Amino acid sequence: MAATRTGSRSRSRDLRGHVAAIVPTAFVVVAFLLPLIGLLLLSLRPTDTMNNVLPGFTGAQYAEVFGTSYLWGSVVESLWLAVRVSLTCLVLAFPLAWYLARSTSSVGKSLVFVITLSPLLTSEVVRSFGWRVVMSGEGPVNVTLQALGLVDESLPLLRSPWTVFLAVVHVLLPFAVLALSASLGAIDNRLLQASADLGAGALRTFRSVVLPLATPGIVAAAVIVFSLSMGVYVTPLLVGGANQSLAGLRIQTEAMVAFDQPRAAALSFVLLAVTLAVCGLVGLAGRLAERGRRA
Amino acid sequence: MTATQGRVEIRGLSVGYGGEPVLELDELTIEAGEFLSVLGPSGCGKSTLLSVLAGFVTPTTGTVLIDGEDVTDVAPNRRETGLVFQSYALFPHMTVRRNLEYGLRTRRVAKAERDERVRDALRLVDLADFADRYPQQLSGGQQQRVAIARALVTRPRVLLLDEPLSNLDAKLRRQMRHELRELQREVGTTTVFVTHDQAEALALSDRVALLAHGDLEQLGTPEELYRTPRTRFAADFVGAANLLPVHDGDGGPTVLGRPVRLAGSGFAGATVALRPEHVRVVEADGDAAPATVLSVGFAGERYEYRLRTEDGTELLASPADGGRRFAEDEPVGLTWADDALLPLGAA
Amino acid sequence: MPDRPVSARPPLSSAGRARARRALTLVPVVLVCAFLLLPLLVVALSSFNAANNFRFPPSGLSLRWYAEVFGSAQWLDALGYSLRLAVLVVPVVVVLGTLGGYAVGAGNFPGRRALGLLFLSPMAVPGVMVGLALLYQLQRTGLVGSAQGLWLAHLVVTFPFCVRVVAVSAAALDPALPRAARSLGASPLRTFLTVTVPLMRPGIVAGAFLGAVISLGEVAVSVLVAGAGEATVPVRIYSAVQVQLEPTVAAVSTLLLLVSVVTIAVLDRTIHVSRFL
Repeated sequence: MAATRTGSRSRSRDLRGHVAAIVPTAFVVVAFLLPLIGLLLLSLRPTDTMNNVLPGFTGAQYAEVFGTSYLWGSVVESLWLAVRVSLTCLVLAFPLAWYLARSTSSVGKSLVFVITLSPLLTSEVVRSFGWRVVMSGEGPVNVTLQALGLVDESLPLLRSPWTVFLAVVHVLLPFAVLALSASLGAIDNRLLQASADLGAGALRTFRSVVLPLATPGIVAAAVIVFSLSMGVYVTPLLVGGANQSLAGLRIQTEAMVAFDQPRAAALSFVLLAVTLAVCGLVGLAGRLAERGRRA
Repeated sequence: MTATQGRVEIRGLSVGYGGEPVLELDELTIEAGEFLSVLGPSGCGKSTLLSVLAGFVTPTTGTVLIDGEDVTDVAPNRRETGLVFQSYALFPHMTVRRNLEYGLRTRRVAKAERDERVRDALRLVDLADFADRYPQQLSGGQQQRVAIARALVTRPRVLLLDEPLSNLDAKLRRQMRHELRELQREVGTTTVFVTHDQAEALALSDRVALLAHGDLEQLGTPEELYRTPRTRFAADFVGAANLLPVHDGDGGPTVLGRPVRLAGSGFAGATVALRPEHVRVVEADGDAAPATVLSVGFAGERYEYRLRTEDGTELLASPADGGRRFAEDEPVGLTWADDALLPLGAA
Repeated sequence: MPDRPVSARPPLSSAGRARARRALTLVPVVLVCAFLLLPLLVVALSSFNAANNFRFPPSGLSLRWYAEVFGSAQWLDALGYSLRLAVLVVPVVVVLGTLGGYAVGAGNFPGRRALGLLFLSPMAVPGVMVGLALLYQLQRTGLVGSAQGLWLAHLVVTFPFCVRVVAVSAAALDPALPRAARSLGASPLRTFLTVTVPLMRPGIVAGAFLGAVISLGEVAVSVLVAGAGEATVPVRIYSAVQVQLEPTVAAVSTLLLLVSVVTIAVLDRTIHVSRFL
């Protein structure tokens, strides 16, 4: 029999998983991507004075977002909060991630792991409620401060932007720990021993061995924490109230209180664009840092 | 025992993934009941050949026939080939019995027959008492035998073995080699055995197909490959070989300055292969090719020498006739029987 | 030898010093853990407060707020609603997540990485935006405020987590095993069901638990999508906390907390979930 097959490539019949992908892909497209595209179109619609959506296309909503300090300012505020939260999370996550990746005590590891995960698996409302109680006038912080004689009357901690900041750090810290410990765990113990053997102190080993090798994990942690904190709204709302200039809160207010959905949509896409841009820059910086070190 | 089925024919086969073809075989026929080894270094295309036979890779061109039926486009689960993996690929979540039953359940074999066939297969590989163990509870050699039993219990037309011995330690490997050969004789299933180990290929096979760079280098019985290698590659890969140039002397062709008698004529520029075990190391004298011992090692029955001749050629020798041990740096002479020189093609 | 400063150290206390240094490195670990636990412990503690306030330390202990929760039709409705929703969400998201996680983790086809990003993207987009997009879509299809709408929202939120844990399990699969099943005569579907899925079971179980816990606690998207009639427990807490601090909220929160803690403990015991996150 003559060769009847033609074609330039041999097909591997081992093409795995592409059939399995069909249903979940359809789900994500229908339940997530299409609504998101609908939202994008909505952000381009004009509205009348009663906030009714009209047909046609306009960039007016975006002009409004960039032209109103009430809206654009909230994006800047969110950016500033997200930067502080990301840096704080990285610093706080390091000891936990290091412990999870390096400790030889399995009991200790299990304990730290459960403690790390517990906020992640606890509803945001429960955690926010907890911070409300912690920082309330008769809560543990004020009671402790008064008992120590540091303050005479209880501080209005709930209205402090620092309380919101702490609560957001608390919400996102587990993500940073998990991302970091994955890359710290991948560092070969022998490298650390080699560094110590070559006479490097702990600090030097950390700077010249651990930090460079952990760069991918640091970038991943920063990107996750940053993007999640950019849109956060439940925690700030419940801890600090509705009168804060944060983009997530403004989106929620515009949509659910002012019923101006197109404007809320436009603001959310501006927020998403800024978030993606910063994450892209962080990723690029991480890659450059790695390449620079290799060169 | 004579097999009545399992004749494999490969015609005009070419396999490639976009770029250069990784395997090209004009013609290869495996007779029913034959044990064929596919031998070659890594990257020679031998694993691809196995994937084509098992149905995991569809070739760019060409056909694969089993008992005259074109199976080129037949899915792996309809091919009735039994595949034994290098890693054994035993299902870790099933007992040995369930592993063996798997292929029978997919074929909807009734329970009574299933039990009987599993029992027979386990007895065949001497594991009757291990049916209810999980693979992790078995040694490497036992897992290996389960893998073979699992492939055989379905009574495949062709048994495909992908380096099945390479994860075993040296002693067990040698033992399994014999067991595998005896097992194949007993069941008579056509077997394609892929390996990079020439000793395995020579010891087990009816015929050996030597592959290099995706092409068939030589096909023949183990004896043919060993005694009459056609190319430098074949000579060197199947058993070791010293490749020596032939010069035109006054009185005819010479090798290492010694006149030799070779069949045929026109040897200028030709190469001969001389196996280390056919080199004789003697006291330096006028007739032998002079050389110096670079190093010497003891290998049980014989000594292994690395030598350098006067013109700088380095060669290996492990003479069969024990003799005395020559010391390093000692001048020696080299001789050989002329029929030990294997003339190679121009390649 | 002279370039090694080791000899300059007093040899006596080197062991004690090492122990001290190890203890010192534990200090930040303990502090950060305390920070993570503080609000959760405070919630749990205040739920047993006998008085109707949040003064610290509580003046007495009682279970009156739990009694109040279980006597309140509103809270019981919310609990029932949350549980029913989780029961409807988990099986569906496990199927979707298993298929998706397998495709992303063990797949071997062009565009696999892009698909992985697509599957995880609902996690990266702010919850308020996901909620808004779904709300608008549901308004247009007339499903706003319906149980189906909330169900869909919870599927979108839990799906990426499920995909992620299953993908980790799938990536560890030996590709020879499904091949072995195929060569033994199993069809692709049979191979998937009898070999691939059982081997991914740890990841699938982890995905199911994660999906349940996240669905039970979800609020950011639910608040936007949920109608007035169907308040889940977190949505009710969300509304309650904005008005004033009620001790019943502490009791309900502690119940939710308990579910999470039990989940984590079970996961860590049975399948060592630490490998998956």
